[in-house]
Amino acid sequence: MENQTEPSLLLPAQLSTIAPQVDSLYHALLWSSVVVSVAVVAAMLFFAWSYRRRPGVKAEPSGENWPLQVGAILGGAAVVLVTFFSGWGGFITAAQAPDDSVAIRVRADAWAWQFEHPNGLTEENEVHVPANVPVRLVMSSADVAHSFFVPDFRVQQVIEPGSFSSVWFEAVERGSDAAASDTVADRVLYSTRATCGEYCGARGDETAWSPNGGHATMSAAIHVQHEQDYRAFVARGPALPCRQPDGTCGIGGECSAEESGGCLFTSKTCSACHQNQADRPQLVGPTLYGAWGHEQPLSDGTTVAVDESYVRQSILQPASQIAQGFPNVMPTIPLTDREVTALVAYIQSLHPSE
Amino acid sequence: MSTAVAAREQEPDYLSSKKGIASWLTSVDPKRVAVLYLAAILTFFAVGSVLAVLLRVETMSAGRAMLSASAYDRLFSMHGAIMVFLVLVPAFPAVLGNFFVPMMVGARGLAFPRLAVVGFRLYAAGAVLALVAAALNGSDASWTLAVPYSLHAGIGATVLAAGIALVALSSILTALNLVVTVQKMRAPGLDYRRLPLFVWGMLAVSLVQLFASPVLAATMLLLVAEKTISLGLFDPSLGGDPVLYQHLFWFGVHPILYGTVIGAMAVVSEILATFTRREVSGHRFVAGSLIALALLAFLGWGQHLFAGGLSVYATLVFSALGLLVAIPAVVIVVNWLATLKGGSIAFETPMLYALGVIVLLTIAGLANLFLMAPAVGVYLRGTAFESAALHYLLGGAALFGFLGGLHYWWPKMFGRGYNETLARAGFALLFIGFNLAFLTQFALGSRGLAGASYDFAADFQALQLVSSIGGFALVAGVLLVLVVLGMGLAERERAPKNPWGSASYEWLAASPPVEDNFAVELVMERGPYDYDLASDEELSDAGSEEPAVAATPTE
Amino acid sequence: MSAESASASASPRWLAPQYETAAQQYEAAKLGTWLFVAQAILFFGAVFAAYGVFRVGHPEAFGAGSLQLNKWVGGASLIVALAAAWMGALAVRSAQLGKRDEVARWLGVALLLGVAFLVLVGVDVGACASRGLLPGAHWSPRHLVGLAAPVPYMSTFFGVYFAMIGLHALYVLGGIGWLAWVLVRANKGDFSKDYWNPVEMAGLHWAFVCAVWVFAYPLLYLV
Ligand code: HEA
Ligand code: HEA
Ligand code: HEC
Ligand code: CUA
Ligand SMILES: [Cu+2]
Repeated sequence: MENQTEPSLLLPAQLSTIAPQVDSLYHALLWSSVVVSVAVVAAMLFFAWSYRRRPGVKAEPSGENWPLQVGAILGGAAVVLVTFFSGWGGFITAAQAPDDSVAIRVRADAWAWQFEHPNGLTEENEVHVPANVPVRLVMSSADVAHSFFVPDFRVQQVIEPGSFSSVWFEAVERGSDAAASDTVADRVLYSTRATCGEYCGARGDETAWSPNGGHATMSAAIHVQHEQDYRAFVARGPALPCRQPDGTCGIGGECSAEESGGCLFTSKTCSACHQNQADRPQLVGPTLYGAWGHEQPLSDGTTVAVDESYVRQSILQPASQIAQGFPNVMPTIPLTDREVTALVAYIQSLHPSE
Repeated sequence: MSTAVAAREQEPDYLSSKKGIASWLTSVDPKRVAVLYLAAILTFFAVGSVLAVLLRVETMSAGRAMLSASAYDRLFSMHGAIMVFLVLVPAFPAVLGNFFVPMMVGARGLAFPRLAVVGFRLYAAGAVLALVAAALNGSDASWTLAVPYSLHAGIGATVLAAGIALVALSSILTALNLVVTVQKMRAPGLDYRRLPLFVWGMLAVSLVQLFASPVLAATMLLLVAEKTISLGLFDPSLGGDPVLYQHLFWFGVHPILYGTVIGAMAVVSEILATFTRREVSGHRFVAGSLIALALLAFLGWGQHLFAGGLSVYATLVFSALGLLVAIPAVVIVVNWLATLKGGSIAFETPMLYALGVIVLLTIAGLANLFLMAPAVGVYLRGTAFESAALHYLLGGAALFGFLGGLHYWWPKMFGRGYNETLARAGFALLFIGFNLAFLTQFALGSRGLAGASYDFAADFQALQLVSSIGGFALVAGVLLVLVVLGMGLAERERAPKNPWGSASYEWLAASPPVEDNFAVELVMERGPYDYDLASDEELSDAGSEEPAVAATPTE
Repeated sequence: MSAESASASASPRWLAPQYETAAQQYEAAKLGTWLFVAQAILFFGAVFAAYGVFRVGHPEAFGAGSLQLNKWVGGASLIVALAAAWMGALAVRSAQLGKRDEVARWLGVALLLGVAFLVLVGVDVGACASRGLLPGAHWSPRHLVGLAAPVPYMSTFFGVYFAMIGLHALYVLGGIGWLAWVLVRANKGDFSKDYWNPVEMAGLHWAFVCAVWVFAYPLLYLV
């Protein structure tokens, strides 16, 4: 189906692949509704006028009129069946994201949208997405229910706190300009908006009218890019911290994962519980200096080798394996994949240099 | 006419038999209870409408007009809660049902008159709690008090929930009373085949309220407990399940909402019969459809969970179950049209409302099909389109039906008529205003305007303005209608006993009726719509006394 | 249309004016009471539904939770509830036979058993509370029976437990009130061999009040 990329009288522009399907069902329902309601009103007015009260004319006795009853029941059944079956086609497609979708994590709270790309790059209240590639959003809410609603894509999904919900779409290119051959990370084909479709309150003051000040203004810009531009945009990656010239950690510059990991080890509070230097007293948690490669006894009596997968596991799910002799108090600290990778690289580097 | 009957005809009517406020508050006469409900409902209707005007003022233009965002939130939440729980839910059974069901089954009164009083007191207590909630800065948790939002909301939401619980308990008692009255108090000769459609409809509404209200009451009590002593059943941060709340709430409220439309259908069927001077076509089928709607309404609550909390397969099942109500709805509409064909039709105000309901109900039903077809439904849910659809049902079909019923029975209830021309003007204003206000909302929602929005993008501006103008016309219409009916009460001239020439039983009583309804014990020798069997005297619109023929004692 | 003139014959004092006959009054009362019981099933249905949802979701927590409750106190409450229902039935029987003083006696015993039931349930609730087995935000378990550490979502079990017990206790109070009102009327001599509707209706309802516990007890205590 051809996409109508400008808004029509009743519907917004069709900027996703499912939009034309949704709209054709909408139009089918609309036109049949117009026909049925015009018919009902016309019949009503016609009968009412034709049988208006006239002196000396009595009402005809009314009867059961079986054919009419059967017809009405069949008519009702037809309404049911047609709505049911036509209503489904698009929905099944809409419910299942293709396997090759780009997965973007969405965190909603009152009143902001946070997006995290597969590599950990995060954006606030705006998100870049590729055109012509299915994008799947995995969404959660930190407080009350919200709903991710993109009119131009014809998608909406409620996000109840306490569980994950997902929705997917495939944005189309607007207009006919062919994919550019060069790659520009900042080039945006067009932007559209996600709003919040579930009531979620507002600030009490003026700022409720400014962007993301309340339910009515809770929105995010969606920037649609050529796929290669999107890849380039995302490849810039989440800004991991590096040692700055003055020796402190900060965003900017390029550095190794190990170095970023060292910065994160302090900024993410690991250093509060884990010693990262030799010959220093152990803290609440096991000393990580020199831990890599050793056998670690666990509280369940088994031992594991401290390797990449064990360290990763220990960071992501601290309670899953407990080092013997230590309390189970390590918190799950929210980290992106890239941050975990950096931390692992750093922990691996913590040993006496040969 | 026997002397005993003649003596009873001198009895004062139910309005003047006793005087003073205390006599009203303690009266066990269901007619008086109904009038009390009516007064309360009209008051809350006015309150709810004022809140609606404020909403329309704020949304007349983009950007801030006069309210703060959180004030807007509180106003629309209270607007919805008041209109649904304090106005529409009790309107049909507690006002029209309590008053006319006993009369239309030829009984002297309800089966349990004191239970009706208890019901009213519970309603009043609930209403007072709603006012207390309003005084405590209101509730901004939307009318559904959805969890977890309502858990973070202030004390106003807690008090409002408690109020709703009391109103729900009151509905249970009203409904129970009506069911028993219909089942056990029918006059001799009135079998189910002859039962008036209004009574069938009240039976259906009562079944709905009897079995749905307890779930609502329990849910509201659990919500109050959750908010006060944190039970942890609904709060996700305590391991609770917000979706469980949605299931419980909608299991109760979805049927209750259907009940309001069933009530309107009951009234419309009655008005159509009277103003076409014939039985409603397919009487048995219409009666069966009213009951079927009530039963099917219990299967549809899942519609409200389409966009969250339901698996694809559950959505499929609920979509199918929810759609089944279309069958009885179509049967009813088709038979209404067939009733017009071959009738002898007059167009006084009640009939205009009845015709209006046919139009509004058709549009509403069709609009709901959009919401129900999952593919477009997930797009339109929560938008202004949904708001338009719900207003066509509640503020449209249901309230126009109630207003039609009020105009229809006003002379019987109060013994006074009203100015017909002005009443028709009131209807016209309401009907035009309503469609302006809410047809536009269908378009706005289709174009992506989310609901509950105190602010919106500039391209929605024009339609919102039209919608607001319609909203103001509506309110003007409401005021006009209230003034017309109120002025009617002050008229000197008594209304005739049977102004519309109806064959239905309640018109055999005096206007207004005496305390135990009829001066005589009725024996139903004809159905309520047997215009050819009714005597001319029974159908005549002259005199406010009961006709001699109805009072002739048999054997 | 025809009409009958109002029957002039003196009707018994207890026949309410809206009824034609005693049979009609009796049947109306009976239907009304049954409908009341039926709607109450839905009222409790809401909590039972919550029980079902959480039970299916967290079976271990529910097992661990019910382990904490005192089965003996619970069992005693069940026996008391059954006895109370039986006393209600005896009161109805005596009423039908016209034995006025027996009616009052059985009603009184039923009422006391109702109070005893509330006390027993209160004992169990108190025991839970003293060990911090409280729902939601008040969850602070101590001295768990048969468990080293609390199982996740155990607090939800206690949420359901308190909801069920609380709503049922409110309902029992209502039932006691109804019995008490009938008891007062019985003492005033309102009932006779010809008229005992209120006793029967209160007894019927009372049986239901107790029957709810027959379902709630195994779900909460025995799983
Ligand atoms: C009286 C109240 C009432 C009634 C009767 C209905 C009836 C229906 N409702 Fe509605 N609904 C509401 C009140 C009501 N609703 C409210 C208040 C909300 C908002 C809730 C909130 O704030 O969250 C809502 C929301 C709502 C939603 C959105 C839920 C969400 O937020 O996710 C949905 C989705 O499916 C829905 C569906 C339906 C359907 C399919 C019907 C069906 O019953 C309609 C069936 C009727 C027909 C199908 C008509 C048949 C007649 C014809 C077709 C005429 C044809 C004539 C001829 C052929 C001659 N409703
Ligand atoms: C009974 C139900 C009912 C009624 C009558 C109305 C009537 C009106 N409503 Fe209401 N409304 C709701 C139920 C109702 N509403 C609900 C449930 C919500 C959702 C709340 C939430 O999400 O929390 C809502 C939300 C809602 C909003 C949405 C807020 C938002 O999403 O941002 C708006 C905005 O314009 C609005 C406007 C109006 C207007 C202008 C009227 C006017 O039409 C007011 C005047 C109405 C009439 C004039 C109708 C005709 C009246 C009669 C025929 C009867 C007269 C009767 C007698 C005199 C006895 N309503
Ligand atoms: C509140 C204190 C605390 C903080 C903060 C903390 N940890 Fe831990 N950590 C512990 C404790 C205690 C253990 C041992 C028990 C266990 O295995 O869970 C541990 C175990 C580990 C282990 C397994 C070590 C082994 O030898 O078994 C790794 C790896 C680890 N932590 C990494 C980190 C990283 C990376 C961070 C920061 C992002 C971090 N920890 C933050 C307390 C903490
Ligand atoms: Cu978030 Cu509305
Ligand atoms: Cu519904």
